[in-house]
Amino acid sequence: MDVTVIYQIAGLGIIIAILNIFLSQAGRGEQAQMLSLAGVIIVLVWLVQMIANFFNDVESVFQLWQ
Amino acid sequence: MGEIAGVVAAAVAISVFLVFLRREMASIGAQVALAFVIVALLTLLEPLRRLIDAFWELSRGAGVRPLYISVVLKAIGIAYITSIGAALCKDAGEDAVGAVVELAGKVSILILALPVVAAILDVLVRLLPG
Repeated sequence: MDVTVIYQIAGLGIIIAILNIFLSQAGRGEQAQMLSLAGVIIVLVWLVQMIANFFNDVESVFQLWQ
Repeated sequence: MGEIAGVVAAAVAISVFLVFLRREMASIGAQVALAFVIVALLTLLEPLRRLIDAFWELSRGAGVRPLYISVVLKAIGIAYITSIGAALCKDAGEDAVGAVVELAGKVSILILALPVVAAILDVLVRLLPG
């Protein structure tokens, strides 16, 4: 786990935002919405694993549930 | 503490990205903030583990009962998780969800501290007969 994950997520967000602007300028509002929803879900799947990892570590450090 | 420099540099860079992302795509902006918080705390967790081990050593030397130290450490852990979760919810604009997360933390810390409170009341009742 290192800092590059954050930059990857931020880059994905910037790419999706730019594509979103293009699609909505081209008059394809529904596809732009679907694209942003897909981006949010992809990043969320990524984040859920990180959150699980993090909470496990916090539990082991503070010896919760013992 | 070489990790401090990386965390601070990432914080500054992410803040610049977030200025754009929060305006164009607020949902991914919130997720980037969440990812940064998780990564920064994961890097800080290792020094924290060393600190807590030192704390255990000190308490063992001072002869404090391990039950009390473990209650304190668990309360710190719960406060840590819930305050971060509540701050992230409030950051994403959901104040009500954040308030519920804080309430959950308070309730679980109170449940955790219940044996200690009961022990204090027990001592008090024995000290003050009648």
